[in-house]
Amino acid sequence: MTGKLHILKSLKDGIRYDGRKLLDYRKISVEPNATSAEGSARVKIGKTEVMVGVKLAVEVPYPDTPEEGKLMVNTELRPMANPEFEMGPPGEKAIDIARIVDRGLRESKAIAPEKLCITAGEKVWSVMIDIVPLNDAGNLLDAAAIGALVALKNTRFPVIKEDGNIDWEAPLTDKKLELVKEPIEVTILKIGEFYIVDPILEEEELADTSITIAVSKDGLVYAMQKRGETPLSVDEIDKMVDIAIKKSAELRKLVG
Amino acid sequence: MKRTDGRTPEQMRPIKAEVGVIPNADGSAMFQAGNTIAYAAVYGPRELYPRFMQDPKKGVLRCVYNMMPFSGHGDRVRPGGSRRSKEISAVTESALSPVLDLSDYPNTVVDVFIELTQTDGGTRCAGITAAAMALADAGLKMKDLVSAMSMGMLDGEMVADINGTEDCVLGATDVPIAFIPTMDKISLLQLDGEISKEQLKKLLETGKQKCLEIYKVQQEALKKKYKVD
Amino acid sequence: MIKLIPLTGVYIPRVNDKIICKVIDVLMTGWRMDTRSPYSAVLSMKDATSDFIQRGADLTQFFALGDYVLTKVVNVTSQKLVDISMKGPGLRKLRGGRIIKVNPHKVPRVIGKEGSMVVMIKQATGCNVLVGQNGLIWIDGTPEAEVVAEQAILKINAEAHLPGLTDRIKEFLDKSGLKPAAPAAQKKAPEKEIKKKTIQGGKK
Repeated sequence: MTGKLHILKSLKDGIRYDGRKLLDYRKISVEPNATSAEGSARVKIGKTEVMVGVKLAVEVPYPDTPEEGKLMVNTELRPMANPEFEMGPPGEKAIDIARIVDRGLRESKAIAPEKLCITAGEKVWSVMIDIVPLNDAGNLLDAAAIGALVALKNTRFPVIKEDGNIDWEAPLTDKKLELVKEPIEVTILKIGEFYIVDPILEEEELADTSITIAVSKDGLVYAMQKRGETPLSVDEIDKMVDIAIKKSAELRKLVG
Repeated sequence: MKRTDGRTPEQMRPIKAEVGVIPNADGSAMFQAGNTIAYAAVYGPRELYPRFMQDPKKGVLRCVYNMMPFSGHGDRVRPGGSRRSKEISAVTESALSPVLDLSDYPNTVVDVFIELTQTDGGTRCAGITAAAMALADAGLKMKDLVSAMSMGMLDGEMVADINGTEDCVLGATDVPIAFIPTMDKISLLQLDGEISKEQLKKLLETGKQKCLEIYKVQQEALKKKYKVD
Repeated sequence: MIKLIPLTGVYIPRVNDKIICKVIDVLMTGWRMDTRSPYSAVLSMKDATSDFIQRGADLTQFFALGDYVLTKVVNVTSQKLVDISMKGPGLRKLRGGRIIKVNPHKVPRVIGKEGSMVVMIKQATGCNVLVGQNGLIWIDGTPEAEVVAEQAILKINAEAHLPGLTDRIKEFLDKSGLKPAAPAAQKKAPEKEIKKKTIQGGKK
């Protein structure tokens, strides 16, 4: 793929490198309970494949929130998924994905933190979401966000023994983690004057800027994150929010 | 003796293999034994940095074994290498290198990344089994595949393909082995526990037979992708 | 096991192969290129052009980082150090268009017997198509036509081992609904200054 000029020529004709229309997603498949963890999902968007797992632990609450549980989102970009990924602690890209997924869940209060309380001041549930791509063919963000949501929706609590520790040998209980809100995240990229969703790797490299927007069922915006050095006008941002709201409704149908 | 999952002592768990599961990689495969699932991705031969690690006579094999944070049977696995994963990476390299001929690729590296999405005993063996298929999928010259499985001793009796509960909770003697069929040689051998010389010999002979069953499944998975006549 | 080897595997540079390379470094007296193999290649100034290049000239005017070029392999040492050259018919910097990757072992199928397959794709799509022995392929045409050509080539890459390939590709091209555009753009000269000169010297 040689250069910005070439892709702009293509976008002007209304098609992308793989023949899609500008606002089309590739084929998406969502598999809940893809592993035996407390909660999990496997999401495929085109050739991109991401696994998300939810692990639960019993921990001491933070001193300033004695009746609230904890939420943590982590992304592991392993070299298996893309030869550009290096081993070692999470870099900029991994942290970006983790934080935007975290923000969407936290700001929407998708999980009511009080519902995670076991004994006030002593024991709370800690929800740990780990996002691990198996193959990066672009748009890890949206795949990760869908995966996190589906994994959470299918998370079941383990049995707690009398001593307060988790009984890992017993099967999981039927008690599911309740989600109060279900934010759907959509990432929109701007290349020249054109807006696209669901980028492949080459498009991610050529984008001038992008925004990830988390949207509620009712079209409210929970969280946003702009990336890239090119600034945007208010009108442009407005257009991108419109696209996010429209596309999130389509993605929501897949989440069930 | 009835085992925790209802198997007879010499019965293996259901196994499944698939090749070409990671499009970005030069070669890839998935191997599943019961509830243990391993993915392997091969990148290479490719340029090797740092330079001092290069071998002017042949390519170098480099394996990395990792468990995904949510893959554990119990608590979350903290990301980042551990001493255990470094050890497993090293024995995985030793298990696979006898079948590879990298003399056509001086100064390069063949990277093998093994990731466990679910663990329930026999993880290093599942990783080696998947890696062997992934190396073949990458088109590397191989003398044969490598097939691996954890044999064990439980309550004085020999068992095949031990699971996580038998290994960690019931204290079985764990003997992971990797077998190269056409050479009739074993390239991975470890033991944790207690065993007599005679029991060990019998266990290894049985283990070879069990590995041959895995070998058949590996070949089928490779044939399926390439439809060789 | 031995049967699987010829179907896939990495490209190893061979003398006289025409390959598409990407510039990854600009050196004092030449450029380092990615050959899509484990061994990068060096294009020295003297093999890049017959023109005289002044000492200390800015080499990025000729080939800059990220540029793709069609080159020929002229030397491979036992340690796999590779020299390439731009001197030869058709060898040049590739402007515009897109680059796609196929398995190097499938290149003969993409080209076809005496070029029949690639010619069929060019005629059906109106695209210019150059196939490198290293499995990199350059396609240049209208956006829609490029998508069809790319899909046809990727189809060959995926299905080369199945019988009836030529007919299936022909059927795919026929169904694509493309009306071949005007004949592909003329071959451009190997030097960089042409475009600039045209703009400066052109008449209104």
